[in-house]
Amino acid sequence: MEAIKTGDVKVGDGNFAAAHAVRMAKPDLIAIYPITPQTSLIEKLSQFRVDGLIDADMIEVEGETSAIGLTIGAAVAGGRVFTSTSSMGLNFMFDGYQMAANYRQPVVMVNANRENPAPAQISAGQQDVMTVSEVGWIQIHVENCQEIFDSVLMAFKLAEDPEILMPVSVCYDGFYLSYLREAIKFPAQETVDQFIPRQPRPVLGFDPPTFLAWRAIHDEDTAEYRLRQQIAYDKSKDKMDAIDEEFGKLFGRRYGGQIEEYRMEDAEIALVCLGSHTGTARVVIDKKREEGIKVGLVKVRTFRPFPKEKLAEAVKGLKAVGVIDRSVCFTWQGGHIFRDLKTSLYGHDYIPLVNFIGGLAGHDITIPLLENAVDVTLNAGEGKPFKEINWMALENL
Amino acid sequence: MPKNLKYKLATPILEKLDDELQTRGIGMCPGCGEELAIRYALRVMGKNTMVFTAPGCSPSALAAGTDKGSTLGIPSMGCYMTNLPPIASGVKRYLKRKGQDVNIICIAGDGVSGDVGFQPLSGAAERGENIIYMCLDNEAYMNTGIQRSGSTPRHSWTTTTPVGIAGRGKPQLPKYLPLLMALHGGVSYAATATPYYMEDFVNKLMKAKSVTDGMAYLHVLAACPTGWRAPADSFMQLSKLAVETNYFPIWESSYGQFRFTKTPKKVKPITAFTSAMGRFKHFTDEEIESFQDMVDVRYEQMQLQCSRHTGNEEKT
Ligand SMILES: Cc1ncc(C[n+]2csc(CCOP(=O)(O)OP(=O)(O)O)c2C)c(N)n1
Ligand code: SF4
Repeated sequence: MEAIKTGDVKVGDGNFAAAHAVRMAKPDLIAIYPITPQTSLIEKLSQFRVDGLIDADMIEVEGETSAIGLTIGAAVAGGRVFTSTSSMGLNFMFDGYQMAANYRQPVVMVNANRENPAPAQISAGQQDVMTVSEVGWIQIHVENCQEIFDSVLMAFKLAEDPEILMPVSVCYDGFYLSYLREAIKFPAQETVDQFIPRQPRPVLGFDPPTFLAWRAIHDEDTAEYRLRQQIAYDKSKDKMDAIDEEFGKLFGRRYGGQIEEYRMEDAEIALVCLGSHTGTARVVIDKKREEGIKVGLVKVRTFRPFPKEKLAEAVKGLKAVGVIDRSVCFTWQGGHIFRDLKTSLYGHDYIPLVNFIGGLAGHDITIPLLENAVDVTLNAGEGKPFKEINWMALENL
Repeated sequence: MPKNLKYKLATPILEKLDDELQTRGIGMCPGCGEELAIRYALRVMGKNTMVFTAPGCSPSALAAGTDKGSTLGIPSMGCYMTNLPPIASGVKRYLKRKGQDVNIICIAGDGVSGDVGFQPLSGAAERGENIIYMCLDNEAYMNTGIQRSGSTPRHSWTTTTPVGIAGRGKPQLPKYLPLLMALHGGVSYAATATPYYMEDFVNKLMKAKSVTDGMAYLHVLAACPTGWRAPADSFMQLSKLAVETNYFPIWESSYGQFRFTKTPKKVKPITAFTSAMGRFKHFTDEEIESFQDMVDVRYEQMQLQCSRHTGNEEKT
């Protein structure tokens, strides 16, 4: 493989971006099981290893349970670790997935977001990551390939922060980003090393003998352990903002930390979304602005922990907000972002929230669909009656 | 010429074992076979060891005891039934990378090893993860209350294979896990053992500890008075009878070379074993015959394996 130099711009897809970021983060152990649309990432990393570009211990496991298990093990002993998966692979690793969070192990993974095969076969969507969002992992959602690269580096920084020590998942839309080829700018290795230095943390060791077990944390201490976990989880929000700032200084790019606001200065209504279709939404916002509609966009980056305060602040005083979801949750027929935003705004001044479900099973969230979402939100903002939950392109159902 | 791990006599070594590492206040039944096996396994492994457990009876002796403040003398970690070998392997790999040579031992039941956790165990065995895995086979899910496992023998009573009009114990033949494990390419050393033959057991633990190029798998028959419906003081006797009836063949495989390490001078009929426990008390003559058949088939299978390497068998 030809060497990549500082400042080089290379064209590659999302999996390429993730693989290179992992290479530059210099993990000790990588364990991955292949699954579409993530597979080319593991192929890339395997090639890096035989080309001598990484010296991580790479394990070709027999399934995702072992992929997450090996990373937990090496993390428990003090190592920097990485894994990745998608869809049913994520389902299959759920035992270790929640264990990593509950044992506070800084496992970093990327998930190439995908539907579950029942009923959607191999297709894009965010149902997989949204389904597992309640167990204590930090989730960073991204919009393009450069952001994948940059967010993987941020993920290592956040996960291994001594005040955080939590697993972090960088979630990028399968197919839309995993296979989208874009220009990716490469930083200097020294800058990456400076950004994510190795930091001491508690490990399983002899002096004195340490324990990681249900019985070592006695019942009466479990509530305290849980509370500390929650506090650290909350703290990761400010950390994310600080990391974004530091990243900006070192690498010259910023993403806004927990959320990013686009053309929100004088906005009267807004769309809220996350993932690859944020790019499409920017185009729609520009177009609507040209038509004189004062609409802005709020991009959610850290879906977990949910940026409750930042979002409430961002949408404060708006006439209405449209929320785009690429997944469904079995509560109000709506999507996950909608549910969480609505919950977050309880106790604040009333703002009509309109939910738009779309992009399931690889359906495109197109410019016309988002334009329609803006129109519906605008109507709601004018005080007209509106349907709270709208399935885009399924209006007649 | 395939490699072979050296066979050492253990008697003088028994006295030289490390101190007891187990904690006080462990929560196992009186007369539990697992407890003794764990105690000696830890003594052989010594202080430079980390132990990994999964749900079942064994963590009661390993995690930290029931008594607040009582702890094992070595690092330990509670894993899940479904991810024990990979976690232990991850620790081993990272420590090796750092130049630290630590014994990593997994201790778990037959339910973890052969059923719900079989895939990750098989994967780790195929990859030749350099860990020691000790399966304590008490032939059922004891910790959850004596439910049938893949290792429960045919016709045996358990709480999920009860005896009544429409059923008479477990209908299926068991899975013979130690042989399955020994046949994995990455398993350098595999052996069966029982704490009744302590010298044999300790030798095997020492060999397992010495493996540096693959997995060492020990399959220990852990007599369980509670689940087998037998008196609390019977576990040594039951372990002995299991070997004397050929119910539990005692062998080892070193880099694929199998040999018996204990063979009964005179094989006893299976009733000597079955009649000693409540779990078999419903047996009819036909069921005894069928049970004997299961035992014979398994033993012949092992004879076949061991005969492939003539000159390896040990006469006792
Ligand atoms: C995935 C999963 N399913 C079920 C359980 C509940 N469970 C706890 S212990 C146990 C049985 C363990 O049996 P075995 O491995 O044979 O050990 P033993 O208790 O007999 O020593 C089960 C099913 C669990 N802990 N994890
Ligand atoms: S149920 Fe059996 S294996 Fe479990 S502690 Fe009691 S005797 Fe030991």
